Amino acid sequence: MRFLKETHINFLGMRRFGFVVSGALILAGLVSLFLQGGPRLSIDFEGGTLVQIQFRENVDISSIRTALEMINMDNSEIQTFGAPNEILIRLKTFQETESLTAQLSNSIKQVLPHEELEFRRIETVGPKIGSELSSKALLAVFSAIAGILIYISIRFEFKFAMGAIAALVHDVLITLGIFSIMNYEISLAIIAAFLTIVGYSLNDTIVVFDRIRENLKRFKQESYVSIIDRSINESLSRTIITSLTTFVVVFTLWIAGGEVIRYFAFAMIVGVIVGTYSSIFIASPVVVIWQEKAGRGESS
Amino acid sequence: MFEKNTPRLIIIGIVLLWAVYALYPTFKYQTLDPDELETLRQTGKLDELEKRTIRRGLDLQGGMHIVLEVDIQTLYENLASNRNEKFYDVLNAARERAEKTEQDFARAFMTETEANELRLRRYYPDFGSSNQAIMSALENESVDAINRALEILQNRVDQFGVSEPTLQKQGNRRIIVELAGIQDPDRARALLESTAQLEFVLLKDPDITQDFLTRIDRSLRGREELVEVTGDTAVGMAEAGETTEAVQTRTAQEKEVTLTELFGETAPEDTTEEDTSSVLVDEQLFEERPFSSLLRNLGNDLGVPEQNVFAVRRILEMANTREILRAGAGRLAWSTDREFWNSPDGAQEAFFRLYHLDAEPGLTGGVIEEATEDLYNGQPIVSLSMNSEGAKTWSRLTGANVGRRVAIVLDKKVHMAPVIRTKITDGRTQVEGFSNMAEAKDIAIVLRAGALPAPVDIIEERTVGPSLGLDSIQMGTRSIIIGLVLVLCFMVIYYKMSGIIAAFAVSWNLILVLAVLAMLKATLTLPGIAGLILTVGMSVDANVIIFERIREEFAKGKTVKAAIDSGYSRALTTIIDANVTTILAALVLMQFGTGPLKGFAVVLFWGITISMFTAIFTTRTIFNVVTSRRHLQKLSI
Repeated sequence: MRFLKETHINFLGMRRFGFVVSGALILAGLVSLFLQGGPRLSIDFEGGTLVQIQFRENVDISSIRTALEMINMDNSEIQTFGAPNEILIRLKTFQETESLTAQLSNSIKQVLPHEELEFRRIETVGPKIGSELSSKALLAVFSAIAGILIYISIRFEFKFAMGAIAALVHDVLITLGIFSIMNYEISLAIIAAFLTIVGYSLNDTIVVFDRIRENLKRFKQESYVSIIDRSINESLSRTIITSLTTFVVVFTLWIAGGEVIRYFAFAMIVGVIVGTYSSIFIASPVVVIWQEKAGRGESS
Repeated sequence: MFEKNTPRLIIIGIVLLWAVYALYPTFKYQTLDPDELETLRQTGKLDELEKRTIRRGLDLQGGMHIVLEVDIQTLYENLASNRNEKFYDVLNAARERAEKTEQDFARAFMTETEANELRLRRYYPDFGSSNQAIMSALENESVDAINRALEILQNRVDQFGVSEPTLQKQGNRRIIVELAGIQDPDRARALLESTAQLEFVLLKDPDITQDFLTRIDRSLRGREELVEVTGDTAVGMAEAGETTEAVQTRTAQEKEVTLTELFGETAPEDTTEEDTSSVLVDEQLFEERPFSSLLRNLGNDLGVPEQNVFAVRRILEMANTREILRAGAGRLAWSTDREFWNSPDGAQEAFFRLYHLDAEPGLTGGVIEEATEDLYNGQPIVSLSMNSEGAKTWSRLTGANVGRRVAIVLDKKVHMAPVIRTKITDGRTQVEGFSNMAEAKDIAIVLRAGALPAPVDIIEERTVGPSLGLDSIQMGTRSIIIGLVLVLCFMVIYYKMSGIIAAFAVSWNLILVLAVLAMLKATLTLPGIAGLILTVGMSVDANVIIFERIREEFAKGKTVKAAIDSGYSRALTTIIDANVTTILAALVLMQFGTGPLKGFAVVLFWGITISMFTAIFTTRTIFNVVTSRRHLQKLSI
């Protein structure tokens, strides 16, 4: 069984189209980030308290809000989480959980006397730890990128490293933008997903680059652009199969993995799609542009 | 690599045996029925088995993750002698600086010391002569403090009875505690945070206490902080006076006074942290006796209705009040538990007791040799025995104060305040006043393990209930199985015979990763499951790269063997280059990640590393075996 026989698609000819699409997506994300004043960070980074409560029956958020008003916590954010009988409360401040659970269960019992509630998860992070985590997360992302840049520069050439980094920054920006548009928050787990996207996107890009490197040796008389197009076409069936299978895997995680991991899986889904696209429409074209600029520099 | 198949098959066989050996305990543990579990627990073999199984993270079995930070400020304060206002000013300024600039407290303290030209020698005479020397001695003390705290907490947690607690130091100020499958988070928290400073302190005479209250009332009367609350309400004569039955004095004249009224414009924003926006006072009384009207007389003790606690605290923090306390060489301490009385309308009302104590303790907990929880007349108690020096002091103290009361103070809260009936000479004492046996047990644990050198604060806490953990593991397992089955089906349909080989390699990959996790005593978390799923994707990718290459080589008209050979050799560099980048990302995550993130990175790292073994080495061997046995003309791919 085969999806694709030999293909001869002029990918590089479509690069302007690709740049426009990516530019528009990134711009939309940036606008959304700008309007919301930056990414929505979870308590992992900002400090604060998160309480997840499960009820026996479905609950009405407004009655929970009434209960929170009674203990002066009505500025907190309340949402259902997964099932309609499960809610998530986010408080902006670090709370002593001991008194918090007592206060919450008392006031909720006053509003909903017949409900039984179970505290499923309580997380509280002090502001100091939060800001430490943000700087650590940034450090991690940058050191990962630096390490990869060095590796690709050694194994390939510097211009390939530029292409790979362009694709990777592209993928992370788009995912971040989509998270902002969807109003999802960025937690530590999402940072892990981002780093995985980085890894996946590079994986994809490097398979194509590898083929380019091989074909550059084999077809010395061909033009740079045509060698790259040939390479993308040759590795296209692998790209599609791998993306499909990985997509199936993360998609199952998204559907069946449970609420806690849903956002993580969502980031991965976006990452797989965007990562596959960028290895074809961003990484290789950037290498071409870099090569053309360098070539012009030599000739003049 | 190897031209012959035998060495390859031997290597594969050894790895297989090793994986079975590594995974067997986990498999056995999962399939134990409750009876067998109980037998193993009794023979003590369960611990051994548990040590060799794959550990589930807190998100998969429920539990607590707590980050504690040693309170260096209090440590410095406790180490200092001859403390005066100037010293406190510097200490507080240092705290503010540390908070504002996110600086280390020690560094902030040094800066403030220099800025205020404080001579540390005055406060730390035993620590050196120059400020520099004293600062470094203090730094050593704080390093020592965290190490001791770690040891003491380890002792406490070990006796607490949770399976596989982990405690580790993070940096030089913090301790991470992970308690898996914990049922009662409040209890665990109390156990960790208790500094276990036990003191025996004599109570002030009731007359002196009365006098003290009058002084405070006088000092507060008419002060600007306390705005008059008479207003336009016509108030009848309050049934004032020192009626012993406090409950009955609470009449209709009582009015809710908001804190803003009480403290005028100075009412702080942080009132919200305490759930008391108003207090209960008798208006008439309030004017005359602004402090004692907030209290209720309970025979020999002072009672503070829960609603008034915050206001009373505010007054006790005022400089004037502190001065009066200091002048009388006294201090005030709260009771540990809220108690209830019945108000006239039949409702139950909570209150706390407030004790007026000597400033200096008669005896401190350092002399405790043994502490055990016990039952006495059906009540939970803790029996203490003291060393000889302690017993001597205790004997002198009790002998000289028969008839007076002594408060047993643990972590600045009064546990009980019994009347001394006779002189106690053998250094044995019983502490009562525990609400249940578990509480008595925990206090005995903290007393045995010793006092923390400095208080610890919880700065991060994550608690996952056991039911959420169960949901997570069910959903995680289900999704990994669905994902795996879908992908394997696809591989078999798309690559036929070769697809079966790949499917075998991918399942192999998963099993080996789990075996490595078991051997490394790593923890499987929910993100770890995500890492497994990603491993499946990457492992499939490696096979796809190889198979697509082989197909290409066939298209060029090569024979089966030649196509497989060049397919593998060409795919090799691609797979390595592609995987190394993901491994780099995983290594970075391992370096910076904590808890769940680390779990993800560990699984991803091993998953990809093993994938290179299974996808390249194992499948190649199978292909070799298949193609060497019969001379294939066509390969099913």
